Amino acid sequence: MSGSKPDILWAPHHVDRFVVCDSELSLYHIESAVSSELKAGSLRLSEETTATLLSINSDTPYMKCVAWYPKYDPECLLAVGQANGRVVLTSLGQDHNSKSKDFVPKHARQCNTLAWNPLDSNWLAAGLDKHRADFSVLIWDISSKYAPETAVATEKVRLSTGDPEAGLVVTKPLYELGQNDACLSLCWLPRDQKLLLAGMHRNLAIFDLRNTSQKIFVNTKAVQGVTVDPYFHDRVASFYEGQVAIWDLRKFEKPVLTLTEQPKPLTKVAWCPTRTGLLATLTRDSNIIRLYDMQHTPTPIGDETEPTIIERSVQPCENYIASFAWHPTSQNRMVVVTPNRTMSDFTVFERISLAWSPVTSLMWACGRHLYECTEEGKASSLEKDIATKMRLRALSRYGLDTEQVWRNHLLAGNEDPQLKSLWYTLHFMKQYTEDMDQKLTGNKGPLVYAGIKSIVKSSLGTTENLRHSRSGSDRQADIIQYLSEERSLALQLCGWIKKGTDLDVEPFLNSLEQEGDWERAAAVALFNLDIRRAIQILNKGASSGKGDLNLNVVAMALSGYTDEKNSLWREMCSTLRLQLNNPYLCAMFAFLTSESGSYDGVLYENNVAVRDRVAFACKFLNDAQLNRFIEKLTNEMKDAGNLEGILLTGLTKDGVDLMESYVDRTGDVQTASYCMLQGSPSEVLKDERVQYWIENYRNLLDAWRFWHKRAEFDIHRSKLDPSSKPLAQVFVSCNFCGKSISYSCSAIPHQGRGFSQYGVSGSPTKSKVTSCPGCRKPLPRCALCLINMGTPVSSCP
Amino acid sequence: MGLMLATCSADGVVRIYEAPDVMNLSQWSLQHEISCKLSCSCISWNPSSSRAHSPMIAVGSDDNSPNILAKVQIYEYNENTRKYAKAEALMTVTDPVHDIAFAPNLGRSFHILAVATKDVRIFTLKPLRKELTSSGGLTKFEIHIVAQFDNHNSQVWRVSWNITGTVLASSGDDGCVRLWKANYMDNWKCTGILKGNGSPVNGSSQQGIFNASLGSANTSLQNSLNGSSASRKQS
Repeated sequence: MSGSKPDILWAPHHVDRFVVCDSELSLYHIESAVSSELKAGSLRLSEETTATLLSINSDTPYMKCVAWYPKYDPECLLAVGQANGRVVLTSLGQDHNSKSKDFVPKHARQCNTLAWNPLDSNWLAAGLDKHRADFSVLIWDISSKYAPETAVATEKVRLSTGDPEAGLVVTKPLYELGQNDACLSLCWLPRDQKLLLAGMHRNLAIFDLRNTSQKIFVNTKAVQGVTVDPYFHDRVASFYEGQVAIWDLRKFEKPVLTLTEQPKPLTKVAWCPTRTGLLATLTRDSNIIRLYDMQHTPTPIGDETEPTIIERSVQPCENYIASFAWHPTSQNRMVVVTPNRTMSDFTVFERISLAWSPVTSLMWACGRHLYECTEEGKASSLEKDIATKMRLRALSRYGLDTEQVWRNHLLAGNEDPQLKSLWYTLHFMKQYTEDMDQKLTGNKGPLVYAGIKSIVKSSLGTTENLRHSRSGSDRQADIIQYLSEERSLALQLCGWIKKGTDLDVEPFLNSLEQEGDWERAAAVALFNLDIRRAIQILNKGASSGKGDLNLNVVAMALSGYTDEKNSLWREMCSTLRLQLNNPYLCAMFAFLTSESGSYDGVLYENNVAVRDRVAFACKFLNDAQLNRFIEKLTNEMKDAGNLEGILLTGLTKDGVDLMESYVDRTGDVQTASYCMLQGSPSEVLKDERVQYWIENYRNLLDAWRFWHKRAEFDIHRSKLDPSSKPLAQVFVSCNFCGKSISYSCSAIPHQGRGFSQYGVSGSPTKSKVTSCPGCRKPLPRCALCLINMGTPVSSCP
Repeated sequence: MGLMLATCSADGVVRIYEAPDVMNLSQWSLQHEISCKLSCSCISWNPSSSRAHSPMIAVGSDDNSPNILAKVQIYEYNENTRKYAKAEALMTVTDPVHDIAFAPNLGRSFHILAVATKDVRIFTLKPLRKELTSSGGLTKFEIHIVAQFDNHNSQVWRVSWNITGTVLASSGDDGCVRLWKANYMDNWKCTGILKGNGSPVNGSSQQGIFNASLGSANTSLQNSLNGSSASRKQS
């Protein structure tokens, strides 16, 4: 503390008080204040704490250093070292009026430092500047009765009881040390209460009060701010200019460590009282406090081993810091004070280490606490992470519905349109293959899972043209529709028509109407050239409960359809349609106003579902156009990882490519695994990537401890992909020889007299085991049905 | 891959030990020694179990000497030489690295690596297909930095991935835990901030989706705190 720069001290025992001293002593009381408003007269130190000024003591001018009495009682007793070398005991707070006690050296010079003995709290060491051959370290006994001027009051030594007479003055110190030298810093060594470490003019010295003629000393420049690590009593820090030296008292010849030099001179160095090996340093004119973490180096012994130190810096406030003080008990907390006496309460955070659990809860360690934080799923509007989604889907048996395949998207939560499209696609594919199986005309079977892209490719040259009018108009228009077996198959996969080649979309329209998807239903009706039906659907939609009244307006506009190329209707519709919000309505007018054969307004309306666009293309594009369109759309879907594209690619290598970019984008290996399994038996399952997804999904299930779900998945998988069937894990072994019965059945070929000898016939239909194939001992029978134990279940009657 | 343990040390050596016998965990034999020439601070295995990816380790260094060297190096096992060799170095990372973490691969075609240095960085490493790589046997990677955040305003100490590699948590010198998540456009964003003591950060309402969910997590957090206070250790 030099000049008017404020210093700061925490009360050692009353942890809610601290003192700021510059030209006067100000005692503050710190309290937590959660609310944002401030009480009158209190200062905000941080978001949580405020300080109130309790008292000011300006009795002691020319303060150079201050030390707080280390015992609990009397509270707020401070020793103040003055510029003239006097040490004054003064108190703050309630017993403010109690008279101070002065300790006066023989010759006046500046008092540099003060240190209370932590054990024998009557001893107060003062370090003074040099004065000729005088001593520079004086140890005062504050209970000293020897006071020449006030011999009368000798029995009044208790400090807490206010002395009646003014200014007790003591001039005879208990010990005088450090002759002909200057003392810059002092601290008592906790090893022994009689040991005092002093930073003298050019050396560090340890004085032993039991034998004051002896001292251990080491020559160094780093003599300022000596301080002992409270957790490691042999470790001492001192500094000089910008350099901190760490000493080990057991090996005192040279510093065990010097910290990287700072460009500016240091002003304060302090060990953290609540944590081992944490040293805070402050340089002049700086707003950062530099911290050195020496936690892992309790014994830096040996010349070569440099302990590793983690260096950190913290910035408690914007302004320059004049001084700081660690809170004596609160973890890693300090108060800093700036030259203009603004204070801030500040906690140095430990390095937080953190770890996720598989169920998306995060655990971290901060200080001496562990925190766990979980993602709560109650706000369903928030997008959950895919990890949580997959876990919930696994719980709801997602992917396991093999009968009604489309229902899987409901199990997934019915929130993702891509999943919905995917599972409908897979559903239609499955349905079609089943129909094929019934008709036993399986020539198209393998095509189905190959996706519309390959179907369309195979349809080249088999297409017949049909000229149609948009019904509802009187004139014959030139709308060309294309038909072929493959195209109608594609339409089936798109879900527009049911089995066979009858092009009736009515059931599909009805189901859309039931779902309340009016715009889409109307568009599909229109694309099947049934304007009347489209208008009817829109009317129905407008009149239904939560229908949109605008649909009536759209119906009205629709009914005005005319074939005239240059009609006002056409002109208005083609400009105004872009303002329609619903992509299907937009596509409808695009269709009506388009020239024959160029339907870009429909085909590239990206918000219309892929399946509808593809179905539309299959109806109205010629072979070359269709091929181009499908090719382009497929690549788009593959790049975007859009699951709707599975309709085009099917479960082929293209499909795996698409799924790969979906997995890259979302990490949803669950859908990828189930989807690819659906296509089996086929080549895709042999793809390395597919196997890898399945493997990863199984690992995920294991990580979540969903053992049963994983078993279900394995069963599901082995049903669809027999090659992945796990090997038998349970065997029946013979009681006598211990060999596996089933193993012997399958593995031992007919040897010698053959299996019939042991009652095991070669044919599986009659396989009966009556005795162990290994040792020929008869196998025990069931008491009820008399079947031999070890008979395979499949051969039980 | 079996019981493999990798260590890195300040002298710049990465050592890989293996316990060949699952039933005898007291025996770990040193299999490999890699010299990184830089004081190492952190290490992370690539968790990918695919046979398509050879075993891979990322090593970070907190060497703060001024020489401009890549502080993150990636070593890959080479089947032919049966040794680990340096496959890549992230040249853009020149500040001391405190932590490094590969995301769980989960079947992606690329690896994601989070780096804690003076900021949080997320890299993707896409292995180029074998036929494109040189004959040396080492995989070549296409490396992109997909995110870089200095929201901690200070050194970042730890990074950790969730089980799917979709949410990254980081902790920094500011005493906060931050969560990062990518949207469907692969734009990474901060989705939650919590102070080290579990309280939500004031004035972070602009933060997106995770905040509310984590805010509600505070109740469970309090509970866990109360539970742990009995067993709190004084060191």
